[in-house]
Amino acid sequence: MITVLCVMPELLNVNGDAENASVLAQRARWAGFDARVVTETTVRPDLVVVGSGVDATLGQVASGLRLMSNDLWGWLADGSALLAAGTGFELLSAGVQVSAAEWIEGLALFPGHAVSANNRVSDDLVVDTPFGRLIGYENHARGYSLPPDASALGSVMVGRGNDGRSEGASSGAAFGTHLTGPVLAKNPGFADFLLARVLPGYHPDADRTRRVDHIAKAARNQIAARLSLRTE
Amino acid sequence: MVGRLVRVAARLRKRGGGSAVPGLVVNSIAPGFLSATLNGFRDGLVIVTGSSGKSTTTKMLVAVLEAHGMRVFTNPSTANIAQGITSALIERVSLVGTIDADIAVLEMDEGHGALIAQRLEPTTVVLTNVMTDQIDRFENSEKVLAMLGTIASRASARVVTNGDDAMLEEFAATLTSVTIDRFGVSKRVLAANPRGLGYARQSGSRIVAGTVVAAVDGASAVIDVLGSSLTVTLPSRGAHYAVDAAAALSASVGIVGARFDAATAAAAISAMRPVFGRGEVVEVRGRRVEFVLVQNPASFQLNVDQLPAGLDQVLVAMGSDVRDPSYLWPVDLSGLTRVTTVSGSKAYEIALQLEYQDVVIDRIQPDLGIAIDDFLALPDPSVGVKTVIFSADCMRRIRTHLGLAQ
Repeated sequence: MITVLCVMPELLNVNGDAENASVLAQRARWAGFDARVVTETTVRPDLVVVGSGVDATLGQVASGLRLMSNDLWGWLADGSALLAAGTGFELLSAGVQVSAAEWIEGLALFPGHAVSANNRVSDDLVVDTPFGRLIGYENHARGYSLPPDASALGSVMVGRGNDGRSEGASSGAAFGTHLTGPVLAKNPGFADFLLARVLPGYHPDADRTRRVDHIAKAARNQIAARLSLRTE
Repeated sequence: MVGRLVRVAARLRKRGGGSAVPGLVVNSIAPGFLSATLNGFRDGLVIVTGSSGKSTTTKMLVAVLEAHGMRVFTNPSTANIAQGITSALIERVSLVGTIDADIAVLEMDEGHGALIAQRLEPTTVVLTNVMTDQIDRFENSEKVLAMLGTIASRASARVVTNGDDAMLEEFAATLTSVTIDRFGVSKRVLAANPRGLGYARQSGSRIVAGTVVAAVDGASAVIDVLGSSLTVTLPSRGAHYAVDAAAALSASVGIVGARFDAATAAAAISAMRPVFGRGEVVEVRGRRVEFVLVQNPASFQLNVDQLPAGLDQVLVAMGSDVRDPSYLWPVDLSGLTRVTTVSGSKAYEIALQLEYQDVVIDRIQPDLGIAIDDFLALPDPSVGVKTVIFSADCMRRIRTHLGLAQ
């Protein structure tokens, strides 16, 4: 049985990012494992998904995450993997510079911090990563300052990401990104990378997985063609 | 006069499709035309706005006011922008420049409405709800609320608002110089809708005074207004239509005043026909088809939950109007069980959601014309009627393809 913890989905699912938890659980099931999604847990979850919310709830979410801080650090040290998107990613960094006057302290799970930007970006985001090209969508009003020695999730091919060059951050088995929505469904290679890290013997070769991944590829290719990128 | 000529020209140019063109021209030639006319009705100007339910609420309110003998000017729901309203005005204006109406009731998109609100002097503003709607256009519910506030703060007499919507309640608390009338649902109705009513934030308690939806059973509702319990037949199934009716009744009580007659109002709403895409069963190529319009995650969930269980012929079509379909993922579509065809320019995206939610997909055909032709050609379903669930863009394309009036 693998357990996927979906953190505060009532506040962190505005773009459907919390649904990444269901994607991980479904893919594990299709590969023959028992899987469940929980929204709170007393035992260490194998995978943790933190989605994105609206700015009005940043403070509330930050308080909630602070209460989980020791658990999150401990789980990651003991082998859990984590995916955080949008404001969830920002609040797991050192902090969020909401405005010149307002700083919200984060959990510092990721290197770097979120910086205020002049404009909102709400468009396609394509990222080149070690686990393949990720195609998705970004919808945020801030950038991200990543220290030079820290690891990004990948480099931006189309869109803004952190700053137009790098996108997201990674630290051990924790990955943060501005790719919002169910990015793991559209980019199953990323999902399988996370699942393989926590689930020895995971092989995504079921008929169901192949059929669904064929649909995901068609969705990615449609966007790639629109952006004049090579199709797969 | 200029407007009349332009309208005729637009009609000649494109049959049935020129509705916003004459308004655009008039607004350039005579920029004050729109506001001067709208602010000049004897019994005032009513604006209905909000994320969802505007169209139905507006139609219900117009029906109730007309049943009370008022002459109403309203805008067609397909043209709820400034140009569309101007075009609708030109339709009604006489050669000497007068309009045969006592009152205007306008449905206004929150984005466009906020832009023209500063020039309008509405007597009553009706606020339906705040939902997470068209997220890449309005970004988030806070911004939607700010736009609704811009419109509502123009009301000179009355703001009619949804007491179950926590964001609207917080906004209403800031209004001081107008009467606030509330509508909402009973505890019982809320309990029967465990996923809630789709608002960005639901109020913690039910309203104590106002127009209350006491009970809903399919397309029948009991609504308490001014101490009487009215039984109303809704144009389609679902609590959200009952809430629209409560909004319309609440607004008409304030507008009609002492002449308000509850039985007349209930009869007017009950006589309304279902609207295309909102519960109407249409006969197309000899097949009975129900079309279901999806405008945002909340309406998607409410409408899917209202469908009969075990439908065996369903077509789901998502178009380019849904820029990023990710935000539809929180909608639980598992109740559909099986979808015959997935179509539209976002077919692969919505198909992914259906697959992950364990809905069996028979076929993905992004070409909407081919998909709808093949779907209609299938023999009649064994359960219910053929059901087409679509986004607004796919609705327009399918109507054109099937030769149905726009």
